[in-house]
Amino acid sequence: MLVHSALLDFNTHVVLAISPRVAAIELLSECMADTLHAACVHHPNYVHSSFFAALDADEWPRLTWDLRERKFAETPAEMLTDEIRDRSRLAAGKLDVIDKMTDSLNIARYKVRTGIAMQEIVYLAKRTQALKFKESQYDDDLMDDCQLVVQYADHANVSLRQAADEILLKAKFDEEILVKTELLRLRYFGKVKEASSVDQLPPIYTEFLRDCCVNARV
Amino acid sequence: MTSRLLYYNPNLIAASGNHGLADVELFSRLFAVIDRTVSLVDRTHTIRLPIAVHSLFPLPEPRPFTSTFEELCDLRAAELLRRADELGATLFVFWSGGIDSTLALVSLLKHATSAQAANMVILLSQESINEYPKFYREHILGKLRVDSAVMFPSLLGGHHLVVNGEHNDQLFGSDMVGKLIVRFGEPVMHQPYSRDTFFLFFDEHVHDRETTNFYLDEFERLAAAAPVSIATNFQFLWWINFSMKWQSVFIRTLSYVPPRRAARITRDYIETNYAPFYCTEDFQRWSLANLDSKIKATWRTYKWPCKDIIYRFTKDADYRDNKIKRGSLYNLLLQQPSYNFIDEAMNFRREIDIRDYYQPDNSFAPAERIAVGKRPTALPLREELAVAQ
Repeated sequence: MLVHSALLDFNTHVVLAISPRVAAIELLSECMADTLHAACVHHPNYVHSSFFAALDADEWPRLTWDLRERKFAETPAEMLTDEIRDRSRLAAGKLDVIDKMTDSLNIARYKVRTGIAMQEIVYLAKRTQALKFKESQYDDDLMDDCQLVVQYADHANVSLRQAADEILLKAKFDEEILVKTELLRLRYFGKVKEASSVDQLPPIYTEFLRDCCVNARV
Repeated sequence: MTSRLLYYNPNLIAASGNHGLADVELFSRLFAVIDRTVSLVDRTHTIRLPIAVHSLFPLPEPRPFTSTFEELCDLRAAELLRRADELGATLFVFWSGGIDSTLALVSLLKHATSAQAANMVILLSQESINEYPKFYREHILGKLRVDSAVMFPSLLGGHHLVVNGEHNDQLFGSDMVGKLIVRFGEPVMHQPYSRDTFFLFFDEHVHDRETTNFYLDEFERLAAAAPVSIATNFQFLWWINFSMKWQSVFIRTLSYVPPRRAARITRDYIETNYAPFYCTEDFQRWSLANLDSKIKATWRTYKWPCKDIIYRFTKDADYRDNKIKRGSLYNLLLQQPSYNFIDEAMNFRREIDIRDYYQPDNSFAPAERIAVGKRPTALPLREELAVAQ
């Protein structure tokens, strides 16, 4: 059973959304007033059962989360108001858009990933050493402190200076991919946060797709 | 008078919300054939669009022309180096590893003094290095200043001189030639223009015989307006590219300017600080005068005069003989927010109301099509048309 999180109405604990994407529920809790993030709702009572994972979004508010028992109960009819249903629809809409935008941004950042454990630390150490070497005006006396730069220079058969400059350039390539995708994240997650009705979400996603995926005018 | 656009994002023009205007819808469907990234502006003024556009680049006056492509590259490089000196500006040069930007850089390197070379910054990405690693190793690494091209938008509007390899595709042919070859084989390129071939080629995307015929009628009128004879299938595609995509290619880079710098992109800026390498009247005259020098019998020979010049500098026969065109800008431009519309007052906008730029007197209007003896469109004119008029 996948770990699931639920977004609850703060006062009633009526379920507004359920998702295995914990970070998306956390983000939703930040962008919808009077909500609460209930983490790991599968535990301990639904470890072998996932009935809530198969529910349609419009069924979510029919459940209420019992914080003490960590169980779902049927929402009393008098609590299942139009206002709660509207908030749940908005949460579901935001969750859907957040999920899709997260996927697109993750794909855009695959260029920076290597899939090799600890490689980010290697790159960071390389960058740090290269910068130190450059700031020393390429002082060869620092070679012992810059083993990754020396290693790269030997491997690529270039001078230490060229190796340091190239390491810094490649580090900047990666950094700028993060910078441009960060602008998209800031802009469009912000718009999703501010959306107050489900109708506002499709144009936001269309605009996001245009900027993220189809804006290359070539 | 209706305000006119220098640049528009066809994706937004083609949005279904604009389909209340029958001529706009018919125009929008053209982008099933022409890539949806191309902001078409007809420099011959033959095809009148349903949105008001203004052409910044009239076709050059024809005159006898004998300069070689290399001589033009040399002249352009010398002029840009001199301009950077006079402006006291850093010369930023986009390099993708592709033929166009490599030739631009080679031309600059051939003419740069050591001080001018030191004043250049090569903008590149990992994809640039991957595309032409040998050139990067032998001519850039350790020899020239480099910087990442990814955040190029932050350079726009500055006091630098920004040079890229734009417009060479318009001088030499069209990326649609590659698609034509995939569909019909390489020999089709140099065969006499065949409406039947293009009907098949276009209608596979349009899926409407009447509409496809209308588009072909318009493109044939465009070909008839050319100052040279458009005789082959290759030339037909080149001419569409040369006459209708020029302005789009010039402006597309500028559309990525960050909001805080958009006001700095003025007519003066684009005349002074922004210089696509191949955007000169003489390059265009060369293109018009050398219809037989763009490609030989195979796709690998596309832009062969450019590859020959690069070879004379690099002695890299493999690149000359095997390099094929590929889109170099795609990864650079992805995920970069951009403006969708730029008008002639240099206002940059993300969105517009199309009715503010609607031009009822256009080639796609049913009345126009009837007047020139074509079959009327089946699309209904709606109230919005009358309102807009």
